[in-house]
Amino acid sequence: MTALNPVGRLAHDDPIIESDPPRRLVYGWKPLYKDLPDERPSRVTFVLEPVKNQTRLTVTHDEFDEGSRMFEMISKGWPAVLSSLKSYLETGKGLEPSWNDEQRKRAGEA
Amino acid sequence: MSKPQFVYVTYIRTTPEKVWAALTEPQTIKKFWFNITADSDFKPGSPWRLKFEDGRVADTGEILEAVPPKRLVIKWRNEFKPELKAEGWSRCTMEIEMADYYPDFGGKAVKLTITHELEGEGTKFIEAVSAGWPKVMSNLKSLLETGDVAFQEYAS
Repeated sequence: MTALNPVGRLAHDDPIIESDPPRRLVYGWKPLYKDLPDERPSRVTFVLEPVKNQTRLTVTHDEFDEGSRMFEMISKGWPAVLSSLKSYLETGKGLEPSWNDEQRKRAGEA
Repeated sequence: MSKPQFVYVTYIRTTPEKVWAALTEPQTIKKFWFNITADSDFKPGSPWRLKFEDGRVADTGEILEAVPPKRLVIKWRNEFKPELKAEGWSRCTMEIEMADYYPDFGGKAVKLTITHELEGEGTKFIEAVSAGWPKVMSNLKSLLETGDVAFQEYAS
């Protein structure tokens, strides 16, 4: 699975470990930004379950080394991404970041 | 060892004032909190109580801090399950701020952080609120963004 950042640079190139639509998705996680710590790949698991005509999504991100910096980063990132996902599914519009020029430049260099 | 704690962060496309109003207006609380009634004027030092639809008391406590539209701290104890009540008082802190939606990438949304920690020892109370808060907060976000909730009744 590849993912590009908003200025078109490769941000992820990760293996899909399990895929069982529409219930379960597991993939490896090692972002490619140049300023990230060199840590071993971690793992993300998405589990979807029907609950009273709605969907419960449980995201588990594990397999970090002790003291991982990536763990701290994803702990801040997932609440934002998952909030945006819920907004997108319920309103048709995610919580899109509004990049300024400096941020765009920084992302281009990363 | 740190106190038993639950932390939940959600970002909502709205204003801090609207989140504050939703968290402190009984009519709105009832909509996203599965018909729970909140009795309080949400002023520091005031009593606070949650009741089920049938009138049973769910939780009791006191407003410790209230700084609209930023910060609400409630001293909180379960009243309807003996094993949870036995674990004693907890403290729930709700913080509301306009924040970068995604670290370093800009974009603003209201960041709502719920931190619920037990004053003493025990695991059952925090387990219970860990199951409850995601559903309540999910409903609150839906209500503020779409005008309606995801769940009308509590799904266990």
